[in-house]
Amino acid sequence: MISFVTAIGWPADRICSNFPLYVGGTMPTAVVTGASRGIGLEFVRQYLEDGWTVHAGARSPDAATGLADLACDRLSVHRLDVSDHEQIAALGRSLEGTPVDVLVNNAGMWIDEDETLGRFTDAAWMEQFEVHLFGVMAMCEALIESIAASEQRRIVNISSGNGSFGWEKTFGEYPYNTTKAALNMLTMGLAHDLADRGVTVMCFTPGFVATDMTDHASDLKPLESVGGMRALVAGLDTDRSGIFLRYNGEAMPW
Amino acid sequence: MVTSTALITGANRGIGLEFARQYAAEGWRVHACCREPEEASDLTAALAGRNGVIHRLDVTQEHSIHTLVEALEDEALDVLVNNAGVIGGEHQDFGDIDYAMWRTTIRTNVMGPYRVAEALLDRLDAGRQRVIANVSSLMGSITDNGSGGDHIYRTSKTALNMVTACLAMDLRERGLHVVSFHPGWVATDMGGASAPVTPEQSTAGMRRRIAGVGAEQSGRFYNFDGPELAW
Repeated sequence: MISFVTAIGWPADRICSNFPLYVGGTMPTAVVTGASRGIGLEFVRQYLEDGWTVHAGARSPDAATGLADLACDRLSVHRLDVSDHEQIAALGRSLEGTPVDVLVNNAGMWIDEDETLGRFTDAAWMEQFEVHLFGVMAMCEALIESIAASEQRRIVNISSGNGSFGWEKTFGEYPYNTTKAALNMLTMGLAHDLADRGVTVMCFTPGFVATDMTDHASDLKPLESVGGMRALVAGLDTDRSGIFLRYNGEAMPW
Repeated sequence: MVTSTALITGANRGIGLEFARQYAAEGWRVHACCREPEEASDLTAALAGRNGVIHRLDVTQEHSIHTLVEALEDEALDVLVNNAGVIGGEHQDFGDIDYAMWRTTIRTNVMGPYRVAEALLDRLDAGRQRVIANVSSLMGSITDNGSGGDHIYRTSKTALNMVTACLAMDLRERGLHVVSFHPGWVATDMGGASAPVTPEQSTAGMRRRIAGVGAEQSGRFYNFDGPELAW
């Protein structure tokens, strides 16, 4: 896309502009939660780069400097804590009548060594259910009409290998693993529920990506992980709805 | 002969009551737990003349679990049956989700079993069989979900299965074994009168499996009548 834009004479720094980059139709729209940094921010960046319109959810928009760096007419930043269902409803209202091609439920959290046996409170555990499970359902409920009215109709849940029963682990990280396993179940359930509306639902493990959440202790960069997931999102057949994949397309066991 | 000991949650009716009845009838010492002991007339009758104790326990309340642990003093436990559970209410369909009920269901079906197990690890260490049996459901199997809906109940049982998998991993070296069960579609208050499996059949099958659980079986998901199930 960059080379295309450059070839027709726009400077590269105008890539994020209001010009129609996509001749012959409306550019798609994505909604991304947890968009202030890491994987969410990279989804926003790549979709903008491809000319999409993006609605980015962040708990503290004022502090989201990564999103500020991407500012343009096609990017709207919304105050969104997915554990706050009032904020989700407000986002849903603001998008009424706007088709949403891809919803990326990315907002997530992890409390490091306090995930292990005997180390976490019920409140901390419930907070992860709010963000990883209830918030995802609430986003889908709030945006379903916009999603169903779009061309691509995709719901993408960012899960984890930690939520997989078949993925080798050495010890339990209870809040994270249980909520991601439950998210995987929700993915399968929604795939069935929304099949007759033509909505494709999938979950991904993004890999162990170098982000703030992982202390950047990885060679896998968001560019590659998100690039892989976006290609899969775009290419997945509707009849494969309810699937769990690695960012590179490998099948994940439940 | 050394007496074996079981602790059962949600023991006032259904499958929990049947676990208490069967273990007690076989001469086990039974700690039968329920929220309202004074209303648990069937349980009281089942344990009459047996080696059983009824405890008040709400698995969602930390202080309630603490009181139970105190009451057990230094007694060893062979088998913990995490049976207490709820179905999650009437509003579980997409577009009609009752989030307050979802939270309540997670507290009872996921956090409760974890907290009870965590609080009783020392008691289980002192036992001989050292089995934690979580009464889950095939509804929690992602592989088996061919119809959608029932999101509250399904996700709670998937999460409970992940508790099973994690505990099995963490307790392996300690010699404790953890399994999940699908009890079948059982004719109880929860399952309804038309269900094809009786509580007696379901419980007898699960007890047979529990008796044979070792390191090889730990961390797995079993149907009440024996076969392993997909997650």
